[in-house]
Amino acid sequence: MARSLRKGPFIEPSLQKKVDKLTTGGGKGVIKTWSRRSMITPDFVGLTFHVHNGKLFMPVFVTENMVGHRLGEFAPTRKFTGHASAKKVKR
Amino acid sequence: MTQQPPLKSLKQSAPPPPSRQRHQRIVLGEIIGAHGLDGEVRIRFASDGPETLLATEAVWVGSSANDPEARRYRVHGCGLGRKGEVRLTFDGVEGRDAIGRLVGLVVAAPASDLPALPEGEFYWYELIGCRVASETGLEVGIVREIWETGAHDILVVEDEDGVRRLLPTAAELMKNVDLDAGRIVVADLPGLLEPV
Repeated sequence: MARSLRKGPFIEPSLQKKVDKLTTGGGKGVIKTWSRRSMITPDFVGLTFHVHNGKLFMPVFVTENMVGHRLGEFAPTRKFTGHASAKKVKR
Repeated sequence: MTQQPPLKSLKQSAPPPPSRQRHQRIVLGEIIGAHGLDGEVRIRFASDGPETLLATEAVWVGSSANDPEARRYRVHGCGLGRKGEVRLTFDGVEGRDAIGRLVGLVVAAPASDLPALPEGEFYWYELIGCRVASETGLEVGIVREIWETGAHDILVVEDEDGVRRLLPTAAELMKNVDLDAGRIVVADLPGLLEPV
């Protein structure tokens, strides 16, 4: 069941505090978090997070099209290994 | 809080990584079986899409990409198969029995045969082996592997001591990629170059 709109998006209070501190201070840096369940809001766009995947912190650079998703969606907990040299990276 | 190990400079005389040589073969897929009775080979592609395999005129079939005993086959027919598969027809391979002997082998093509990419896009094999430095000139290490995530891919960079760092391939953080020099410059964001 979807979360009630009345409550608004869930963001871990400690994470929101770190985001506010970084954005209001105009500083640059990476925010380390274990909160995979926090939803990405427009405040997060342009910031880089280190999101824990259970083993290590995966870097996640937030872009506009990630808004509304959870941070954990971008830090996979399983690693696929296989032939991949012909795959492409888009900057 | 753990102390971050200092970044060391790499030897400038390091030879260019072999993974960036244009004549090396790149795995495009794996043969998984036969389709029908007319010699169509089912291949599970390893690239982002089937385009690369469908555009090739000849492929090398062997146990690995650079298998010295790999055999070259000219492709004379191609088409889409099931999800994640293409079907190719090779010259000289006819019937299910002949294809059965190829099952499990990989299909590769020389790097120079791969289609050129638009600006800002790179093949994984081009980035693997590149040296990574920060904007301030600190050497971070060498790209060893690339991981896929739900968003941008992640470069796994390893320094001389085997310490690994993960760097996202977002344009805002990957400032410059010079494939000829085999060098990638990344933003010097505090905390970004923290080891994993």
